[in-house]
Amino acid sequence: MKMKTAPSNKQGFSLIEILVFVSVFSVALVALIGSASYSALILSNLRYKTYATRYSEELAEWLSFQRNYQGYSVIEAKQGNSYCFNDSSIDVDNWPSAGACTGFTLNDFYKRQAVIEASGTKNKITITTSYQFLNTEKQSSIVIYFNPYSL
Amino acid sequence: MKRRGFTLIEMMITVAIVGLVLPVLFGIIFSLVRLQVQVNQLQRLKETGDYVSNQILNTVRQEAISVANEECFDKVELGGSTTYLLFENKTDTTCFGYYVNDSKLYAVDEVGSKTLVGEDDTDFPVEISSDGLTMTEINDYLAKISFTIVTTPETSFLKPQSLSYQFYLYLRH
Repeated sequence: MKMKTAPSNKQGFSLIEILVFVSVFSVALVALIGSASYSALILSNLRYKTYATRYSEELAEWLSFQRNYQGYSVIEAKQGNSYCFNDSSIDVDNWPSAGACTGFTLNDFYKRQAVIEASGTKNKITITTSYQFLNTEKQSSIVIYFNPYSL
Repeated sequence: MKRRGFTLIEMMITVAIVGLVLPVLFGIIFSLVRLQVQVNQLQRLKETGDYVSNQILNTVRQEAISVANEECFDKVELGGSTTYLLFENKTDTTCFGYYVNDSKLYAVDEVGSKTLVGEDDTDFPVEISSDGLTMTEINDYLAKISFTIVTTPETSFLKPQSLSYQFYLYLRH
């Protein structure tokens, strides 16, 4: 009497095959989703930074206007102070009172301030627009120099 | 030996899982591409806005001797616009200036006008928003311009991007 042949193990996938497939697939999926979300984060940050740069440039333009309009002495008199420009509309000669910003109130998201300091015979102004992104503070800065001689 | 393939149930489960995973993957990639296009448009918008504001600032600084909205009104063709800023030229006392009409920003002089923002036939159409648009003569030597440029996407899939510019024009005298 012939013995029955043992059932072949070729009839389905083995456990090992399934495990290998699932692990390769999940590694690929996790890598894909990870890089996609990282790229999304960088893109959103880039967008915020573009707006922040615009705000900084706007203030830099206004400060050089002040230097021409009110004269160098007005800027010089403000040396050693920080000024907060969280108001989104800019006025002809409406300087805020000295002091650093207290919150991110420019457009409810940004904080824009200028630090005026002496640098040799020149006036160095550091304009910084910062914002909070993922609980860290990011910023876009511009440094401009004014000198006492007329241009 | 009994050779069996997949049962109907197994195929249904596979298709269901693939059907769940694929839309999620496509959704992620789709929104990523959208974000990328929007950020790219914002960058190009800033390029355009920076170019135009620098152009106005530098031209006015170099060529204007006074703000002359009333004196120059009859000398240039403004196309019925009510938002304009006109200047008198330093060298030949002709008139030139800028005006906004129909969401477009024009540079104008006594010869004719030229579109600065809002040309339709470019590959990147943008326009001037009516929100916060002002061109103000404060006195003979001081003027203020503020404008917002926005992209005009052809599909509702992209949100319009906008960027605001405001600056004072001061003429030394």
